[in-house]
Amino acid sequence: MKELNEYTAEVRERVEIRCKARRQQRARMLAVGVPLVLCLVVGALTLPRALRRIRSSQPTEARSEQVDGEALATGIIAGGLDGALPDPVEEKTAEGERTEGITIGVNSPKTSETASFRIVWGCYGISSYDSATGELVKTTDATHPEDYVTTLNLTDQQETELWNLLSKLDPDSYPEDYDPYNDPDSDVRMSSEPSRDLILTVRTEAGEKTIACRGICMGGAGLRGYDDRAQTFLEVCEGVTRLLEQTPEWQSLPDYEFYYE
Amino acid sequence: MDNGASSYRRFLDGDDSAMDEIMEELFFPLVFFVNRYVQDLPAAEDVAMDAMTELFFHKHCYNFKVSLKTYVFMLGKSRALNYLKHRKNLREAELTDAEVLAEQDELESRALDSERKRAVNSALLQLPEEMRLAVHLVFFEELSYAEAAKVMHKKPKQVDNLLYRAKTSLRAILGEEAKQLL
Repeated sequence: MKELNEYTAEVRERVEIRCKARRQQRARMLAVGVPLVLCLVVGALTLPRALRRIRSSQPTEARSEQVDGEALATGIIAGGLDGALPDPVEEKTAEGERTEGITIGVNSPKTSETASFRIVWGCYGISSYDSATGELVKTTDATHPEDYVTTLNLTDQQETELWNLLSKLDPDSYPEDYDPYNDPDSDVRMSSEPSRDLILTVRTEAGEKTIACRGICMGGAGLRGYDDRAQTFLEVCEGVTRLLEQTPEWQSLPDYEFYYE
Repeated sequence: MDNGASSYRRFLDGDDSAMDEIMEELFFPLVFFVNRYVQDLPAAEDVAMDAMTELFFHKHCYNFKVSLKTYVFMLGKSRALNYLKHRKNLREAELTDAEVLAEQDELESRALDSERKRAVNSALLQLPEEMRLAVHLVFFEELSYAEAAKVMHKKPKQVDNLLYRAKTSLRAILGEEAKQLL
């Protein structure tokens, strides 16, 4: 058996070995941990900036495609008009112009060739215009209705103005039977006597969409749609009819034979 | 020395000689105690050194709520049980019977300072393990019942019962001699 001082020396040695191992472990942890943490911090700080720089340095065309993709994703260009209308990206880059909803090129020759619309308006729906045939009807309520029919061939400027107005709408987002003055979820109903019809049909290569507002209020100053979308629909339709009623062809038709009593 | 607590305080304050004092006071009793578990002297020495290393390495684990001797014996018991659990994985060096007996005698003489204790120790081998440990801690190491209970993970009353039965058995073994020894 060894002497006590030998045991004591061995215990001291063991303590020193353990202390040394602990110091080495700490040094190893610092050697690995500190650079790792620094890398993570630097990465977290620089990566978002680098990504922003990469995005901002992408070519214009690529960014236009991204914008177009976003528009598609939100459903602004949907169904009815997209196949017929000029390619939004091409028009955007050519004209540098973007309107809300459907993007239509200025003086685009494609518009009248690939898409058309028909609008019916007035008290009981007596007036109409069809851009496919050019038939403009001032009224059907007459002894000789044929006297109130003429052909309107739109000029490029008129066509552009009309399609600019229509491009504000997403036809697919409206129901086929629609009342822009009355919220379907509300119990309060608004009506007038006489009433009026407002029927808008948009035809494209992809199909045809009709939004029919039958027997709705006559409208007038201060009367608005029940929400923003309804108000947009009313403004577009009223803009289109106003434009049609200002044409020389409309002005040359005779005065109304009958008025509502 | 107050069971080593003041020496340990001095050791914590940086007095290196305090470590020698603690070793002198506790090391051989610890080896003797651990040997009761492992029944292998070199292993008991190693386990005891490991327990002492633990005491001096983890400087703030001992909270002075129990005596240092109790704490060291608790460390020793824990390490001894660990050793027994892993013993089958260790390779043992063979010693001759004569060497073993000589070393055990030497340890006994270092750990047990009186003839009376040595006489009881020889009879202890015939008792069950728990009684042996209770007698060892209370009679040889002079721990209180509460301290012995802490080391053995028992209640003081259980230690009391063990000691009562141990004394009865020892009286039967030692005969008339027991009356003087116990």
